[in-house]
Amino acid sequence: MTNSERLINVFVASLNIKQDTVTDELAYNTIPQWDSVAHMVLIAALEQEFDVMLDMDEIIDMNSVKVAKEILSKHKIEFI
Amino acid sequence: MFTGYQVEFRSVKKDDIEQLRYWRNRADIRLMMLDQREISPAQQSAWFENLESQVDKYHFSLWFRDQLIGYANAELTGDHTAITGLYIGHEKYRGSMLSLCVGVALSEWCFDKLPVKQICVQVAAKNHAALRFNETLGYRVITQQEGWVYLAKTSSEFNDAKVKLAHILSRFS
Repeated sequence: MTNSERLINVFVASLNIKQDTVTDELAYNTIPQWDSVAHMVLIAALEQEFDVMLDMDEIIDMNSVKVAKEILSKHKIEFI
Repeated sequence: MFTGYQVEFRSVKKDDIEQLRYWRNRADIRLMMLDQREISPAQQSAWFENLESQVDKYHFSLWFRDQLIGYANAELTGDHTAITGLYIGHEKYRGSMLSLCVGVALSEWCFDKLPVKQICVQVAAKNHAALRFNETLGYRVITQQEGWVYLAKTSSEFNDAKVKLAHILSRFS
C-alpha cells in the first residue's frame, strides 16, 4: 500500500467520510465531519499510522489534506 | 491572570474590545449565542465600563503568542455552579485545537479557583460541532428545549474526559 493510500484510509476512518472525498483540496472545517473533535482523532490516527509525533504548530497548521502531506513529508514520509 | 496550554487568559482591556466586538458580531459566532443581536460600539463600551463592578462574573481576553484570539467568561450562580462560554475569533485559530485548549484550561480554572461542583454550558441545538466539542470536554446533556441544549459536568466527569485528551494536550503544555 502506498503512503497516499494509507493517508486516505486514515482520513476515511477518522472523519467517517467516503474515499473519493479525500482530495488535496479537502480542508478543515469545510465539512461537518472535520471539526475540532474529529481533528483530534485524525491527528492521533496519522501519528499512529506513520509512527510520527506532530508538534503544536503542525497540529494547528494541518488544515487540509495537502498540508497534511506537506507536514508528513517533513517527517520523511514521501507522497508521490 | 492565568495561562493554560499556551493560551493566556488576560483581563479584558479597552484596547481589546473593538476586535472582540467585531468577532462577536460575525454571524457564525453571534448566531450561536443566546443574545443574537449585533452589538454597537456604544453598547460594547458600556459593557466594558461595567466589567469591574460585576460580582461573580469573570471575563477573559484570550491570547496566543501575543495575539488576541478570542474571549471567554465564567459566571457563578448560587448553587455551586459556574456557567461558561467562549469563542475563538482569530481566523487562523477558529475551530482549531486551541479551542480545545481554551475549554480545558477554563474548566480547570473554574474547578480550581471557584467554589463550584459543576460547570454548565448552553449550546444552540443546531451547533453540532459545539455539542461534540463540549461532550469531548466531559459535558453531558441535561435537557433540551426551544432550540437550546443544556449540558453540565462535574469535576470527576471533567477529569475522566481529560484522560482521553491527554495525548493531544501534551503538545500544548
